[in-house]
Amino acid sequence: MAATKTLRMRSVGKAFRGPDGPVVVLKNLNLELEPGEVLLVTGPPGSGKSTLLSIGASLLRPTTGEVFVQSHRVSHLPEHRLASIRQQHVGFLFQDFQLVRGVSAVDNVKITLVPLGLMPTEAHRRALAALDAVDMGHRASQVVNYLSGGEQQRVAFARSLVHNPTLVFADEPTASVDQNTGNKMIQLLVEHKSRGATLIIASHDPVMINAPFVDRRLSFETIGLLVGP
Amino acid sequence: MKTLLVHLGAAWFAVRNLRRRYLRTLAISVPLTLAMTIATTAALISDGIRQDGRIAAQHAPDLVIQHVVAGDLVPVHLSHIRTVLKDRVGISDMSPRVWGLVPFPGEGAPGALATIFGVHWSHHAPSDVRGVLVGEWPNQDERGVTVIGSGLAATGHLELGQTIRFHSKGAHSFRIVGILTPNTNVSAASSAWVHPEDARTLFGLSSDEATDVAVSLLDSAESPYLAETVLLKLPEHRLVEKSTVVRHFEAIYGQKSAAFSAIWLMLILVTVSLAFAFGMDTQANERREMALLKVLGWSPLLVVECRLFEAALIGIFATVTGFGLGGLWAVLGAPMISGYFLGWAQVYPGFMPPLAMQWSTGFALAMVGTIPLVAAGVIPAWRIGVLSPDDALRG
Repeated sequence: MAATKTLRMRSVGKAFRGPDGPVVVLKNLNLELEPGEVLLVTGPPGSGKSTLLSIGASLLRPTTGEVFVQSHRVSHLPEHRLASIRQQHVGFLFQDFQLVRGVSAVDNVKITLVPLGLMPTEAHRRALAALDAVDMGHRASQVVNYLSGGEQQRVAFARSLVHNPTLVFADEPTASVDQNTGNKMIQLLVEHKSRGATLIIASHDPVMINAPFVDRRLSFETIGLLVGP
Repeated sequence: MKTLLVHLGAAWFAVRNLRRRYLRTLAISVPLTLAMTIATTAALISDGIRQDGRIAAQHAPDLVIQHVVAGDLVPVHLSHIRTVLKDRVGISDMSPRVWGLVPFPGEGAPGALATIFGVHWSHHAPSDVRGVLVGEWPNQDERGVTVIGSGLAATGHLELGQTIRFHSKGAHSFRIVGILTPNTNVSAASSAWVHPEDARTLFGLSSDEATDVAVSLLDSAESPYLAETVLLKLPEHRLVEKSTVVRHFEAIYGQKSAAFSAIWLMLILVTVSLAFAFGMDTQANERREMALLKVLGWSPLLVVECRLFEAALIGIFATVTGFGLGGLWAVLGAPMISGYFLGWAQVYPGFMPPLAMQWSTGFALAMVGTIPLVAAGVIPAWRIGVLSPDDALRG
């Protein structure tokens, strides 16, 4: 049964080293997500939303507990094994986009496809298609430094979905875009959900909070304290 | 195929990185290209001169007997030498040579000197002096004529049929009947060949005198032994063995080449240090990007590989460009450094330095141009490769 879950967290805790001793951000978190399920994580800044996303995406190891992506126990895998897990299963949309500066939009998206070993023409075609899906096809060759915040957000969106991940983490996906673009982003997430992808979204955008496609909600009221699901 | 495409993808991103960080790329590649250019030119001239020396030495006599008085080369007395060598076994031939330096008569190279060689026309075909002859080789006892080297002809704007006048202890005019383009630039490009008796007149030698005596042996390996025994009978004489000539040639140009190698290696060292410093002093922005690659599914090894590709690409670019520029510099006569290599160009008419490069030299240059730079990148690349993605992204 465990293999059917896209993401599982068991007794996950995370503490960071602080000037006055360890700062506990997550404590004894248990979570299981099915394919196609959408989890919305809300809470004030610094409450641990991003930490949860990072641990789920195997970018950060928990201090305690274990994390599974599909059947892989990612919390205990060596870094080189994690690369192939991320490549196959994980898409991550950062709040601050994290685009590679000085490189065109299409190249930013193609970077995700490098570990897949695609033919250059196929990689280019897929990257363009991903940009088209976020209405950025016409700006594909533009260096990202010269794109607006909203456009950069859309390029980052294309990059996080271009390899069809089964597990998508989105940190404030609609924070930097106007309402129309935000709606488009939500529509894309819904499409991705309908294809069976599991979405974990951190947001305090009211539109997102009230979105009907969200299956479960997890609220960080204060640091390390969870309300729900 | 898939694996190859992954590596090609890493190389593709490395090229993008070099382009967008062009100031750093230039800071590393310019000194390395400069180093490779100097090294290539120096290697081409150095190897060329050595090759010339080896070709010339192949046809050199086993022993040359010279008369030295108070450190000066003075004419040898042939009757005396013949007497000493008469009963020596193992000598296949003994031939007096009349040669010397004279002021270059044309206006093309003021203060320069030309080398006059007396040759028996019938004993030496053009093939003996090895080269391509324009004009004709003189008949057996033809006097008052000369065959000049192409370097001499070019410097002095001399043509077939013209008369040239050389001055030494005597003076003699010669009609130019042939121009020889030798395949050993260093030894013959500034030379003129004349009848031995004309050379004697020019250098004020009697019929019993010569500049030196060339001795050929039945077995070349006997030359040290023969030199030792002959020297006992010929005090104030110097016996120059063929191997000594070659050794000195190699030593002189090896040293000159080594001086350039030192400059070159210093430049390489500076470049490698620069690359290492740049690599170690990775900016937060760059660390963030490398961490991002890992978030996007790049393995730590692929991240390291990408960084090493950057170093390798700079090295290959600098090496290839350095080879090209160095070759061009050499073909243009290597201004500024050829005078150092062709020390005698101060006294001989100038000529193009001979150019050649051994495979081993080229291979060594290519390796030194690329490997140290890549090696210098390993530690900084590894430091970035093992970064925790989350730590780097959070800064």
